[in-house]
Amino acid sequence: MRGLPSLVGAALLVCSPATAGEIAELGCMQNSYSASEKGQLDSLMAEYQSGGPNRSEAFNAIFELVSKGLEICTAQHEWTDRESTSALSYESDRLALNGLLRQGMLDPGVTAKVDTALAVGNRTDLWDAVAYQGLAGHTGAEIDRFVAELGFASDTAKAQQVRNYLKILSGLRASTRTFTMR
Amino acid sequence: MRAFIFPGQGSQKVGMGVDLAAASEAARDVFGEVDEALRQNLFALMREGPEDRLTLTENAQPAIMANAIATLRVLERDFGVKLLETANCVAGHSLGEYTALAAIGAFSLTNTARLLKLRGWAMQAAVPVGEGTMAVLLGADIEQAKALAEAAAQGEVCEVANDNDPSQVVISGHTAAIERAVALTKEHGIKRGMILNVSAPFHSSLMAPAAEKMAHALAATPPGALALPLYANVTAAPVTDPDEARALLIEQVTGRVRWRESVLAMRADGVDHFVELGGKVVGPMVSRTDKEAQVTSLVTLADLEGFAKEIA
Repeated sequence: MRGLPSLVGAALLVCSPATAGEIAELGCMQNSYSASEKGQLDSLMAEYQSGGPNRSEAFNAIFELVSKGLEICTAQHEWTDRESTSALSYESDRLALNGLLRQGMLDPGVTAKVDTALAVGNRTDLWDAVAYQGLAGHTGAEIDRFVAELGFASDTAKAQQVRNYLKILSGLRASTRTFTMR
Repeated sequence: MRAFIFPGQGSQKVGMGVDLAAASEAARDVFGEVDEALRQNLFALMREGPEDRLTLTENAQPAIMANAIATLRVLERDFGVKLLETANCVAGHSLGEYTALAAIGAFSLTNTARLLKLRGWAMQAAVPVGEGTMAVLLGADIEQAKALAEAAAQGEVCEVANDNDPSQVVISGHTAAIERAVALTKEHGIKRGMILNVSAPFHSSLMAPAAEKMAHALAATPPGALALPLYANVTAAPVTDPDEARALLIEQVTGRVRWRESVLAMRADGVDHFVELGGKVVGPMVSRTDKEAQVTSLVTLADLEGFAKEIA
């Protein structure tokens, strides 16, 4: 499996105007955890995402760790409220993506194919469709076309993985756009 | 019959809860528990400001909830008036729906604070700053507002977000579409439209990413049993099933707050007394919806004392 930071960074560099430096600062929170906290976060995310019996405790523990990381990075970079909020949103999506990959709920082969396809053109209609998630008159047809373009139209499981991955990337893009509005 | 109702965003102000905390340990306990849950000195922000930080969605939402629950706890502990013995149902405007669920024991105070903090973060982060906004339409009924929103959308998001009372409707969506709507108000027979000073287009389709995050969080911390019926924002109907309440909280992030219809539904079901805790915002909306309804707003200690005497 590829390293997650580089995966997220590569995907974002492809689909947003953020610089590598901005993405590095935005990713501050992931470097704020100790090795033991990183391990805890991995197992907590597994519990949270898989709907295990201790999901509620996992939510609260994740909240504690992420809030602590936010405090550290806000102080370190003197983030404004807007920057803090977007960094937190970015971190929550990064953790979600990391968790899905670790638990085998996202196939790295699928994400790689998506990343390659996203590098072509600006995909405005696709991102709008993902952001609205079937609301505001968006039917999701653009997402279906994208899934077909990747060759997964008849593979329900992989098609769903593409949708899940796009949702997370859409969140990461929105956080990055807000964070870089300086 | 009596309904306890809880305010939404916009009711925050610097100094909120200060008198209650000075006078009652019950209030101090609430503010302390919320601070601990959030790893943040939220009460200091409520007490001293600055106002622009208190108004941030992620701070305003838990602060308004904490103030309302503190008011309730003082009423219960210091004046002996128990919600479950006094009210027949509850309702809350937008975030007030979480407060209402906390008030009837469906959420712990710690989980409510954390869910609202997350809700504030998620809603703020859903749309890049400047891309979305909201506007209040004064002298507009729901049909006029719907027609205006449809005319102004032009392919963008422009939706009715809050149906507050017969003369006040709020629309939400892309900034350009909302600006077009405000410019078109007179043409639609609406007295006035004003852009609101909000940081995001709440209760619109643009909040879909926030709804997704709340779906995960509410799956992890779902509401427990509802001790009283909750009149839900998005259905304007009573709900008692925790699973249904959870689903409606998710729907509420992108859906319309049907407050006027909720008031009418409660009236039709026999509610004649509405008691607002921790604000004087939704109570006046009730009065404008039905002049016959009795409305009491409980904000100060004197309000609480007066109410306790009234129902004794």
